[in-house]
Amino acid sequence: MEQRVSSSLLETISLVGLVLFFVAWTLLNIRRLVAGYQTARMGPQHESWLPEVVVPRLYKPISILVPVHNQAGLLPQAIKDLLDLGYPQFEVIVVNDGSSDETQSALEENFQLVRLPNTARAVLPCMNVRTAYRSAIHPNLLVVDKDPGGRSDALNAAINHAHYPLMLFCDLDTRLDSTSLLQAATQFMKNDKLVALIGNSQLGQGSPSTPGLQLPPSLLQRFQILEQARAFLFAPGRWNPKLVSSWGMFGLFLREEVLNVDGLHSGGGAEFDLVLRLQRRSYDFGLPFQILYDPRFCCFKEPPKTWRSLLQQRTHWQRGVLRALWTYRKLFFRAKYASLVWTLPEAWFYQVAAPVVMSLGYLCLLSLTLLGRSEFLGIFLVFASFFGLLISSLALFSQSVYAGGFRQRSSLLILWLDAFLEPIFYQPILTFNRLGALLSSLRMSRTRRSRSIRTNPQ
Amino acid sequence: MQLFSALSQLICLTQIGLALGLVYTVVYLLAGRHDLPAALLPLAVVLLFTFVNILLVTAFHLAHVGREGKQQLRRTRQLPYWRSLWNEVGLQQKQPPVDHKALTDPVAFDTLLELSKFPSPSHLSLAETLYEQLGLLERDLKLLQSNSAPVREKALERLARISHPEALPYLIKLIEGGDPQVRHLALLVAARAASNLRHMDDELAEQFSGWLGDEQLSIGYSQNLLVTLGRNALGVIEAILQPDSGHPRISEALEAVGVLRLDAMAFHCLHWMESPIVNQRVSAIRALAGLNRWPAATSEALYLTLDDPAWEVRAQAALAVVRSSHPGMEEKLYSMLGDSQWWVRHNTAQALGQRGEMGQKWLQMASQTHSDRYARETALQYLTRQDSAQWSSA
Repeated sequence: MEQRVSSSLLETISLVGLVLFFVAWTLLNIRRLVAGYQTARMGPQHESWLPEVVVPRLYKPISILVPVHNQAGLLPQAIKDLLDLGYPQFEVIVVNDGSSDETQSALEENFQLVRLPNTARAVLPCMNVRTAYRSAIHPNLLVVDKDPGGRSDALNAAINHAHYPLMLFCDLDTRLDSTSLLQAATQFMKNDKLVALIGNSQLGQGSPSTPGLQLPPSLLQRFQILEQARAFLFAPGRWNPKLVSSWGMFGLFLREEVLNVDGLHSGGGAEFDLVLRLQRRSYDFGLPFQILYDPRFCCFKEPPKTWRSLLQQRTHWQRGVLRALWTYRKLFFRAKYASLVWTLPEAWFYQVAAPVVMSLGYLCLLSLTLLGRSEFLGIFLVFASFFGLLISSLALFSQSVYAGGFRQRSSLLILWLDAFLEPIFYQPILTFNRLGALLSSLRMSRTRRSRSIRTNPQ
Repeated sequence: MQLFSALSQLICLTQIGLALGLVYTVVYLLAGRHDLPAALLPLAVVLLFTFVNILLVTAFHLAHVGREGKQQLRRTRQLPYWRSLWNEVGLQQKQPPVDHKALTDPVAFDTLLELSKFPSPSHLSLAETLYEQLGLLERDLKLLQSNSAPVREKALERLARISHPEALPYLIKLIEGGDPQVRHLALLVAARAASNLRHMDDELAEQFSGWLGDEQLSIGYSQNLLVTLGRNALGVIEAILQPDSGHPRISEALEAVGVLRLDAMAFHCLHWMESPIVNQRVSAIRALAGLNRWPAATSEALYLTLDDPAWEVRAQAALAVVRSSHPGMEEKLYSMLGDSQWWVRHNTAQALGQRGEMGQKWLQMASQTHSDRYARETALQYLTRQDSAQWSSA
């Protein structure tokens, strides 16, 4: 009797959880479709010919900032590719963030570094800079060797050494394209209010010398390509001038304004945090800033190859984004930030509520199946696959219209097949990982709070 | 592209309806009505519609990729033919083919425009002549009046590349129209066309000066317009830099003077060096630094700006005095190495380094004996950079 009661209680709870799950899942998919429609409404990209008729010396010079930590193997070729960029005036600042491998010697051997006395402006706080070097063969390459402090700390050190008005934060595995960089710089030339231009990072394999993107052989990497393509489509905030962007973003920032908001803060999602602070500054001081998204502004990255590195990366990002949302939670409730009224709650829904509800839903589906009600799992699997395929195909199409993407029919066919499996195998794992990151963030913040109470007893 | 938008709209609307149908079905099942076949019917419909939508997107995507691939292939095949044809016309004085294909084929047009990229003026004028003879100019001028924004923009793009002065009256109509985006693009195309005029009359210069007063134009875009005008910018800049003009583009005009090396505007630059607005003083100094010849009073005026209260002005002045023969300049720069602002120290070291042997001596001395620590380090840094540059050039 007791067993029957507990079984029926479990079934009721699971059914309620399932309703929530289906509602959240449907909302997510509807939002994705609406975002896809918004993307399509943007129409074809205008003025792509402008860079051809702009006087080259009038482009704002760019500092490309590259933090490096134990990446000696990738280093020489990646830096050479950056130095080969066809942009009128730019510098590359590589920050060796306390690497324990051969990074520093690889830099010294390949670029003939000459030691400089350290006279950089210490505008932003960062860990101790040991030495700065300039390359004897590439005058626009500066190397900063510093104590380890993390990616944001390394970027702050690079900002202190940067000379130019525009800055691009770039990882070593990021490949840039000169044409899209010129497009992006044209936007800054045309618009005095622009403080940041957010671009689109495309995942795939290949090198700058090979035209087009190559499809990686690993299924995990292809799942990430689909996910990234959807992020490109599913970016309603990106089309909105009151932008709050998603994870893994890539952008060109005005140095002066980044300094005005104290550079980057440590932890994952540093750029997300930076964009929020830029938004806040524009509202606080009534500045007519614009942060825009331009899909033609592309970089290319190779996705993580193993589950371990992927989950670590996502945990790091999720924690960073959550911390930023929590830190700037006051932006929700003040009248002067009214125009963020849609974008911020939306970010809260997707970053905080969605992982909880979706993970619960998966658990409910599992428990109902164990209790003999397998029809829900069947319905979910069929619909998740079909809806997933529809949204992914729209996303791939949208990406190929706006930002190149994969052109070979065989690649597209493989991606469509993957899109059928991705909602069943890949999305649940990432959802549970996001939930884990959310819970660990809560635990960490509670520990920090109790520590601060102990140290400040009043 | 419009089809893509319509397709997305259709898919979006049907899927929203279908997703709501899915929720209804699940709720129906959850309500304890275990009549699975009855519940499955709406689900099957939802699934069918989703499948049809997937097929639509897939077909459209494949068609898009296929069309692009074909265009690319055709272009690769056609390029050598058109290039050799235009070369024969250009170099061997052959008669241009008055062929209807040239009027519609983008490859023909692109290769024709390649002629205009040659450094020799004869190639440019040949491209212009052919463009006109083949009726392309007339066609594009007509297309400027099209109601379709993409068609108009495409015509503007072609006219920007060919920069034919005959397009000017048509472009002026667009500039004086309402849409700011079209106006600004037309203004850029007009600047390119006007740069090919043998002589720009005062009326057109006044018109450009007026258009540049548009507050919606950005600083960079205005500068680009002025520099694009080339030597023909002189009249426009003169109109803007009149002492009583009150024009909002004074800084941009001064910057253009430096880039274009318009020596005739040197006295205007000296005037604006005394402006109460920091940006205008900075731009005037930068303009003077770019000129080939200076009026006699320039060295003294620049020397005085080294003590300007605004650090931006001091930093620019330090760079500008590299060529100055004002007595006591090295001593002045030596003392400026101890300026409180990083950019002033940086530019001063650079200026001293470029002032020949004497400057180098003062820089060496500063690196060892300057009373200010930052001055010593800045001088040392510049000397180290210079050594590495010399080493690499050797």
